[in-house]
Amino acid sequence: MKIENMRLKEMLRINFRGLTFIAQDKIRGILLMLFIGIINAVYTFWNVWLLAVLADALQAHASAQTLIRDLALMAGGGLLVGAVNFTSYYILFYIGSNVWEQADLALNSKMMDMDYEYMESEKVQNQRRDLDEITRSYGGGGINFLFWRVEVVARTTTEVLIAVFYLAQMIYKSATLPGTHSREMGFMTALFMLMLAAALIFSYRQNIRWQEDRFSLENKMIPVNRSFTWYVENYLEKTEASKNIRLFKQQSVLMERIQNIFESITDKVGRITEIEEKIQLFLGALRAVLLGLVYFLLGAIALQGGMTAGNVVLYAGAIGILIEYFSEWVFVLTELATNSKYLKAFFDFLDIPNQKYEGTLHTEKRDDDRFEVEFRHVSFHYPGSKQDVLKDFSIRFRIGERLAVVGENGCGKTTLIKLLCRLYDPTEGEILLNGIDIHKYDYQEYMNLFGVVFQDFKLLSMPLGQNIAASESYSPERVYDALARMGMSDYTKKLEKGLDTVLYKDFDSSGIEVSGGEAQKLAMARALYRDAPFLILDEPTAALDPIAEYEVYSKFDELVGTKTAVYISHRLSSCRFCNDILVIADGRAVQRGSHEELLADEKGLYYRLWMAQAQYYVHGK
Amino acid sequence: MDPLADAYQKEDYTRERAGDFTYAKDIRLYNMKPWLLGMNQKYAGIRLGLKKEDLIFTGGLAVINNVINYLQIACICGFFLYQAWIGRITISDVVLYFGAATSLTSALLTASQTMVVLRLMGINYQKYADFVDIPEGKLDEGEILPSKDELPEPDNLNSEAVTLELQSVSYRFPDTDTDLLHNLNLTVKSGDRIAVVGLNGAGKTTLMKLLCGLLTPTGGRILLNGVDMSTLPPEKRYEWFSCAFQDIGFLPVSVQENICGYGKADRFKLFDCLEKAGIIDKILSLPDSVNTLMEKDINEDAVDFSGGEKQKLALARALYQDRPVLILDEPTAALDPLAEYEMYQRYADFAKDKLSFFVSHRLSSTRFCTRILLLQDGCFAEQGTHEELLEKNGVYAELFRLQSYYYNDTRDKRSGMERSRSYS
Repeated sequence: MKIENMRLKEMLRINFRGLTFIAQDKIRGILLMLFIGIINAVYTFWNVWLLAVLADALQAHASAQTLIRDLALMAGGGLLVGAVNFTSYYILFYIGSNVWEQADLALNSKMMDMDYEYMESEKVQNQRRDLDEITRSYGGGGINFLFWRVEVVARTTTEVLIAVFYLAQMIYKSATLPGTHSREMGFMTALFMLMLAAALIFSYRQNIRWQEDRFSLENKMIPVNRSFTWYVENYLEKTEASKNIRLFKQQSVLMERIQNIFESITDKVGRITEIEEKIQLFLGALRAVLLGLVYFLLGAIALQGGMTAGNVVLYAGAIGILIEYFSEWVFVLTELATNSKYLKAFFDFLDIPNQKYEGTLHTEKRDDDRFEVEFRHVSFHYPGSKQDVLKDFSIRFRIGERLAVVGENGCGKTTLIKLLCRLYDPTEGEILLNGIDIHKYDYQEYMNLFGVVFQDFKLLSMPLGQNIAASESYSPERVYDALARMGMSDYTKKLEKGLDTVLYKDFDSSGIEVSGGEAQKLAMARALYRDAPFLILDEPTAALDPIAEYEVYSKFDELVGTKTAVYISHRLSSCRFCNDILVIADGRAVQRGSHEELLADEKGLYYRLWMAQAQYYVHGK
Repeated sequence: MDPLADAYQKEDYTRERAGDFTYAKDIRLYNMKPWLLGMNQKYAGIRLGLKKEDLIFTGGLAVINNVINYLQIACICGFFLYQAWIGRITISDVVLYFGAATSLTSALLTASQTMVVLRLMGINYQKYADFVDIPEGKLDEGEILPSKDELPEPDNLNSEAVTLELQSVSYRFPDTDTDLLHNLNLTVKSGDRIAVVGLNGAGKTTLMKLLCGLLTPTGGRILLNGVDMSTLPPEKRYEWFSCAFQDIGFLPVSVQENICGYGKADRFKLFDCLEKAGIIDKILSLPDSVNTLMEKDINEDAVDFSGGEKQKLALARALYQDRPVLILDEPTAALDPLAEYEMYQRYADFAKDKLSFFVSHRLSSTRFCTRILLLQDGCFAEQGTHEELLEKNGVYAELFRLQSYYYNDTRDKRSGMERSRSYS
């Protein structure tokens, strides 16, 4: 992921946008965090104040009542502050418990909205994966990171401010000290201030450098993490891979590769940690030296009567806090600066334009399913490829007909379907619905005209009824009807929970396993439930045995009814119950007609395809 | 299942599916967005609710903890104050002891919190440890292996003649009451080409897994050249088999490495197998030829192969292994008619001298086999050649008739619509 250095203004803008994103839901959270931050800072100082007050009281030989009163106030106050602090933290954990999920959901929601063409592109998929890796890696990045840092920023800023206030007070006391050693005092104070400034500046610069190093190392880790995720989540964790791992002895290669990945990760993380350690070491040493100097200075002032015992405790404590938390303050700010880059990546993704949603025409509601689609001189190549998959394609889908589409692998059959349902737009030519360019129609309404079962269809691991209806609420009668038409009534009756049975086990461990053939029938039932004017089936019987396949074929007319059906299959027997056949070769429509017409052309592709397959089945052979 | 974990799982699932590329088409075509988002919000809500209860409990405890802590500090402070007040210690002592006391209490507090966390981690770790401790196989429990002379060493396998015998083999899945396969008996040898057919769910793939040693029979035994396969360690069993199953199984390495494995490759043999599998033209058309990387998710320069192409590569891989037994599970499912035809023509050639099994719904494949096994109701309901089984007019004959139906001149010349209307 390449991101150039951002300017301060842009950084602020993007962080503000990040906060706005969180705030839609979590204003309370942000305000709470600011509050907690401040309370926490106060809490940090409390023990110092407690001691300072008591030391002063003792020094002034206060009465027992005064001492007890002071103790009670301070202890009571501390108790209250502490209680409020802790309670608010837990409220915060509650509010913040799903910030990460909300951000992830926003990205995935965008994926669903995005033009399919974009979503399928490598660039976008890589972008999404990178964002995934960022949020899961070292500390997490982006929105979630921002949310949890608000408190730290509030706290450290408050701490630094309070500490600086006391520092200023101390300088003032030192400067206005009456007495004979004012020049030496002045000198010592100046020396101290200088050293403090030097330490703080050093701290600041080291942090910036360290963040840059860390960012570049994290960038290098992204592809490494992606590999790791592939190996573990997409391969090792899948039960289907287990056969091939054993049969082809892939264990050693897998272990070796994963080992390499680990070494790469530990190397990088190790380097990050080394840098951190060095800085901490140096700062620790610096802190010790500075504190020593502070006490020396404070002691000198106190000896000359410019400070009470309580003051010494207070200022020493404050400076100690300053030195410690200044570093943390700079650290969190530079972290946020780095995080701005991740925020930008996040919002860049959400800002990807949707082009398909410009049409506004409503598709007419027709009860007679009379919709006609026409391709006029359509050519198409996938984004990023120069090769046309469809070439100068012109075809009219006749209403109410059953069209079989055949051809060799890779000839463009599935691409034709994708263009028909507007997952893609043609690169040349146009597609018309009832004479009007489909761009003009409302996208979702156009999509609603199609009930499609792709070869790589997916059912969700959710209740059966919901799957068939593709929605949470549904009409049980309609679902039963669709299932019955696919011959799945008995199957459904045998299920204990009926339509509430969850498919697969990903969602709920009480789900049932579904075989390939059953899934195919369920997917078809889903398309039927939709009751759309166009029914499109891509290799719908690939996983079915001869009996199940025959059932689908023989009932095809019933299934389709008055709809327009498009049927892609390698099993040319399916051409027999379609009254129209389209043969595609190399992206062009080369033949069209009925089975008898096409078979008569013995030089044509259809003849070759048919004979290659039918010869084994024809009676008498 | 723990309700909080359950809510987590469901929220996770719905959210992840929304962003899953492989679901993208169906999500758009069926307008599943409201459904997914609705379910997600539902479970996110449940999760928050459960979390709230959880946090109120832990939060309450933490606050009480803090109160006690501060009272402690107050008492310590009071004690030292008193000592200073009566003059036994000085102010600086108070500062010192106070500092020490607060450090001690905070350290103790952190220590006790850490112990709690460690304990929780321990519970989680236990789940991991339990998983890792699952024994890898029966041989972990110390079964006896046959002596070395009983089975030849792997190098000589290619030319080995094999006899595979099933003796009353039964199999049932773990935690089920009924056998999927029951009392199977079979003897086959090198040179046989066996077609395995049957309905969905009959157990064809399970049978193949039993044959190649991925699964062990729950009853009866399988003999390989007279040796009971269950007495062999799994790796030794696999060495006799070359398999092309239907699932995923390619690594993000080159085509050559996927097919030939990771040592030295026999290029001649590699190209030969690619040709036999019908994929040589595609591979040669690629700029990197056999060094082309697979798996575009990880390798930017990789090539995405289609389903049919991967099927052919899986076949090439099985052929390259060149083991005495060849198992093919639905090898033509994704192939077009011409590619399927070519595969059949070559089948006799690459199955020569081997014992091979061909599982398929496409009954046309049985023409190229020497024997057909019909698996139904857990047993070999019918066995024989294609002609024998047609004559028998049993289940196989019926299946074949159904599949051929539309290839033949269907007497009924009426259009589909007219036909269906006549049935009502």
